[in-house]
Amino acid sequence: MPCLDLLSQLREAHPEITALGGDVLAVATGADYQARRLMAGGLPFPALVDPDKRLYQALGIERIAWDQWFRPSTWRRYARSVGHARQGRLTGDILQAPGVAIFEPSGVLRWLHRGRTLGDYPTVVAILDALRAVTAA
Amino acid sequence: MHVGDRLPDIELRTADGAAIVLPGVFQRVTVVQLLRYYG
Repeated sequence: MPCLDLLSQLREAHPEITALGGDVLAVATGADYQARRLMAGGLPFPALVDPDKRLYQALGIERIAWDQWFRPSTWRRYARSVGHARQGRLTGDILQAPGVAIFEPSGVLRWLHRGRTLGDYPTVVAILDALRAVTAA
Repeated sequence: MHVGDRLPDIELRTADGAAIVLPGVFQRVTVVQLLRYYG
């Protein structure tokens, strides 16, 4: 759910992101039918699938360590997303940690948040601040 | 990889199953959210 919560916030922020000269891509390890459903629902940017986790590996975003599941902060993140997004069917690698990256058009990595546990995402405010810094450079 | 490095070519799939290669698809500064899954 934290994943869909941030996705929803990026969707809402998409006009501001494009106004800043940016764009958005979503990538997940899960099933392509779930990506199709999001696109059919009007997601304004592509939802891609990375079944082999090549992008995650390239960015050094690892699987969630077992000890992270016992940390209260992990479940606080999950609880915060309740009411913002609905839990759907689990697909892909449910132990994969999340993340956010910002790339230049050339593919140069300009900003990276490597999540370590469930829902370990930066805020949309932090993402927009990072985007402003990149596009202003 | 680290900030400042260029992403190597990585083939992903679109929702329709077509192949798509990063970073060739980037046309603007691009925010990429890496989710666990879309469910």
